[in-house]
Amino acid sequence: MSESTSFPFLKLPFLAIQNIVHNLSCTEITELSLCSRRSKRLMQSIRHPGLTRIEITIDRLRMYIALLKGLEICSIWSVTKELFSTTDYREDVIDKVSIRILRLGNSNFQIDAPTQPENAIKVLVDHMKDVFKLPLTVMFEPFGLENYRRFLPIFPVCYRLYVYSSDKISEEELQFIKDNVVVEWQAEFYKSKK
Amino acid sequence: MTSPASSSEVKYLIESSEGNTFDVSGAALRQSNTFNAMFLNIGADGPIPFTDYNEATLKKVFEYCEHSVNEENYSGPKHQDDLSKWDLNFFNEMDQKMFIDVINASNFLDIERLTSYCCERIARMLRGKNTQEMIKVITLPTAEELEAKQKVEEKKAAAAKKVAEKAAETAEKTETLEELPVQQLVQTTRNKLTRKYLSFSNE
Repeated sequence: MSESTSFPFLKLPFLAIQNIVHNLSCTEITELSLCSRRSKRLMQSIRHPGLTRIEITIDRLRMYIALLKGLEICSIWSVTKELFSTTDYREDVIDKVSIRILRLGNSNFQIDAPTQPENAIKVLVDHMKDVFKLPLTVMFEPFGLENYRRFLPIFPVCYRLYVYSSDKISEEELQFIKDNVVVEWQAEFYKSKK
Repeated sequence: MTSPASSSEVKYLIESSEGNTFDVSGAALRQSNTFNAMFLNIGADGPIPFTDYNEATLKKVFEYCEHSVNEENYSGPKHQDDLSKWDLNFFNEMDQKMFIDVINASNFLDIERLTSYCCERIARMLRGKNTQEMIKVITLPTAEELEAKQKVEEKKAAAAKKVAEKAAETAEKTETLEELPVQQLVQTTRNKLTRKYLSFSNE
């Protein structure tokens, strides 16, 4: 059988699809879940053993989402504030939001979002949460971020929340974060190094 | 069940969707967990009906089971590159329809080894691809696309037929000359030249 032709993958029995998906990496599963609503539903209904958490890091220098298997990063999606200088990117529509994705390696992606990066991060995090059903770990440093409150809707509920440089924002601001984020297991507020 | 001899020699009759029956050895059939759960302990009177699958598919599935009877115990899926030559031939000689039928039958019969090899093969089609490329793989062509493809193929076939006809015509024309042996050809040309020479000298 030729391996280059189209194949009625979605018409196979569920157990066969599950078996096929277990042969794919988490990056490939994410790509497959982005193909159509049906493929997303299928990926949602399959258990993905091995993966442990989704990690979001947001500070003034970096913004990225990582899918982890223990300590190993399976796939990483970083957000850049600059427009892509290349034309090799692709434009995917996730939950009606169009995002430009540049694949840098097997499991390394970049999203360009010069304005409102929170929208791109939110759709991507929501999509991954739907597909993989993993707990969310958030590393958040509001100090230095312009209007940090806009990032809070990305993680209204998370498993672990680590807030850095918490002494550099006011008590009211800190309280605002505590009031707007439900932490299921652990919340830590670290002070900046002096 | 046909013969009550020793368990390795026991043959079972399998009935396909066409109503045809054929023999499968007990050892091969025991690779199917579905069979083990349904018939192994209670036995079967008469042919075992697997009537959702056609004879060709069932024979293909049990051909694999018969082959892997003597292999070592199954210890999880092997990488495609580790498959034996026989395994590769087994998969390569199937067309897509047969391959899908085999996956379905193997899934129903719960033959772990065959199902996982088939699935690994499909996973290879998706591996390393991005969303757009995956869409191309998993999306089946619509009826219109199929029709357009068929038209193109028909056109190609017609063009090829025309070319073949033309080639046949030219071959027919040259055939008379080609059929003559070389010596005869030389003789006829010589005769022609002599006739020309004679007519010229008579003038």
